[in-house]
Amino acid sequence: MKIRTFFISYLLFLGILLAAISTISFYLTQHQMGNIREQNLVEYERIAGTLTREINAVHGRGQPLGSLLQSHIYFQQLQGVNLRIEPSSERMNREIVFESNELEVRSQISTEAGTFLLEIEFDVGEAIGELRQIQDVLLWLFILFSFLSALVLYVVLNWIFRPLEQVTKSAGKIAEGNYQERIHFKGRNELALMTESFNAMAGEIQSQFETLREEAVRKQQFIDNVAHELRTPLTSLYGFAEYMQKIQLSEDDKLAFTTIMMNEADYMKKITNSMLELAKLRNFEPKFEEIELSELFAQLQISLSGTAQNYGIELVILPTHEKMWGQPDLIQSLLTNVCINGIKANSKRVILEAVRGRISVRDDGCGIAPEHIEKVMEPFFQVDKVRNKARGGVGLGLAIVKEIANIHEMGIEITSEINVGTVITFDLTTF
Amino acid sequence: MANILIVEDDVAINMLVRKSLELVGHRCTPIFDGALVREVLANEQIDLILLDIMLPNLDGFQIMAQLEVDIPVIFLTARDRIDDKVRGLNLGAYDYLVKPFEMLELQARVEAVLRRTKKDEHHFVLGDVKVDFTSRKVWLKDALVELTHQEFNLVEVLVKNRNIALSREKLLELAWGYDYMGEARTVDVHIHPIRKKLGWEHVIKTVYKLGYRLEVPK
Repeated sequence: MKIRTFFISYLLFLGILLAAISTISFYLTQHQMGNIREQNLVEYERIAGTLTREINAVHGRGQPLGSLLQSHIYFQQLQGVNLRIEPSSERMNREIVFESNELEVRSQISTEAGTFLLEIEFDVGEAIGELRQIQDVLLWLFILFSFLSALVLYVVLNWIFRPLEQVTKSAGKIAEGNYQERIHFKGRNELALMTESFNAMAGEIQSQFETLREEAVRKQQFIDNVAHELRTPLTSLYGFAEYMQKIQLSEDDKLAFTTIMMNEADYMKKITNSMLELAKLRNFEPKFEEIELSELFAQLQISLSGTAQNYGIELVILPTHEKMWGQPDLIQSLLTNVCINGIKANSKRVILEAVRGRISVRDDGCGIAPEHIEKVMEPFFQVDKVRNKARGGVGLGLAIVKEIANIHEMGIEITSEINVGTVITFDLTTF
Repeated sequence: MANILIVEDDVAINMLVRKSLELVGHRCTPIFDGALVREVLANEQIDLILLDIMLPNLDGFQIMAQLEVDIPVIFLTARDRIDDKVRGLNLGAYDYLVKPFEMLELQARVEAVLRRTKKDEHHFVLGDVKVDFTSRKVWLKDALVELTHQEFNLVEVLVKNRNIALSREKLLELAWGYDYMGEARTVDVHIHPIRKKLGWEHVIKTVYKLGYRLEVPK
């Protein structure tokens, strides 16, 4: 790009320079030649005038013309001028001929002694030489300016293209992974605008890349957690099976071990189901409709009463007239998960209500420590893993809740106090 | 016999480890919470700690770093990343065992650590039979019993993994070595004279379709 610009500009410049110098040279030559011609014609007229006068005088005296003409030819030759004169009766116009360094003028002069042909050759070598010299100077000037302009052009182009080179360099660095690379360029022209948008682009790439990296870290963490969560029950499944194969067991042990193995298998089933549910939610296109929360609450009352009874907990679902926009089965899953969490939190009473555009689930259970509140929505985060597992939890319930809330763009708010209870509140999506 | 502290929050695995170690005669103290380690160590004489990493309240690395007394530790964890292993071993752990593990591997590693820390048994007594692992001698009713080198190896493997059924292949691997190209029948050929010489006809049980087990009343 730079080289091409250089050559094109340079050729253009050379062309213009050449045209200018040629024009100057042409006019100078024309002018000089005109001058030479003028001067020599004046000289010719002068000599012709002198000759005519003298021939008339000699002729008037009746003397022969021969010696006079001879002396004239001789005298002019001394001054570098060739002169030829002879009688001629032919009529002719004046002729001017340039022959290399000589100017030849031929004309008729009429005297009282008759008409003569007067031919004079002037030596104009000196004048022509001057002209050549001027032309040489012009040629040298042309060469000098060509080189000078090449140099200047190169420097100027370098200066102009510097930001472009910086852009290239920075783009290379960004490609290598230095996403914090930026270009510093001061000015107000197009290049400044370009570097500005380049920097904006680099910033965008950097932030996108960081988002991706965070995403990757989160995914890796999730996978690590999954591996851990599956490996633990697998370890005990394998271990107890191995134990039963190799060791003589009492009937009590046999019962205890097979129960454990079945529980572990059940736990793995729950984990895989929850993970499938979570994975489905992540690439999900919901079908929204208007939901009468009173209907949903009635269903929850039926489906959750058994669980609540098992834990000896009072589940209070308050009547409501609220409506929301969402997919009913997902909202039911969300509320079920949150209510079950409340039930398992060592509560005496769990209250579900919907008023003023919000749904809240309130329990009076063990509460969540302030440092854990941010994390409870993360997959596999469990405050008390042993107790949670004993109660059939796999640590994905609130992650599913969060995913469903995201799909519905519902805001979630958790307030909690240790040994006092927890309130989870959702903003209802309306139309 | 050693006193082993098992710190593992998963109830089933904790029980499995305890049962497996009790088979070969160790006494186990199972706990489920990392915060209790200090208390147990203050009250009990512990020879070895089996430590999980992901624990409630106080994780395995923290426990390891806070350990004041010099007790060997084996990490027993689902975390199989190299940097976790390196970190655990750098903290001074004797070994690092990744779940899921096999019972025999757990036994072998526990025994290896106990041997190094000299808490391992030097002899074993069952009824009239006394086995001395240091001098590699066996007595029946105070009379020295002549055992070949290979027979003693087999007795040692059976005693150290007592109450656990060992397949013939496993016995070949443990008593003869990995590179031994013997057949399963070789084991039967050696078991027979051992039973006869030590009167262990009912102690070394044949386990149907599997192999042999040295049974010791618990």
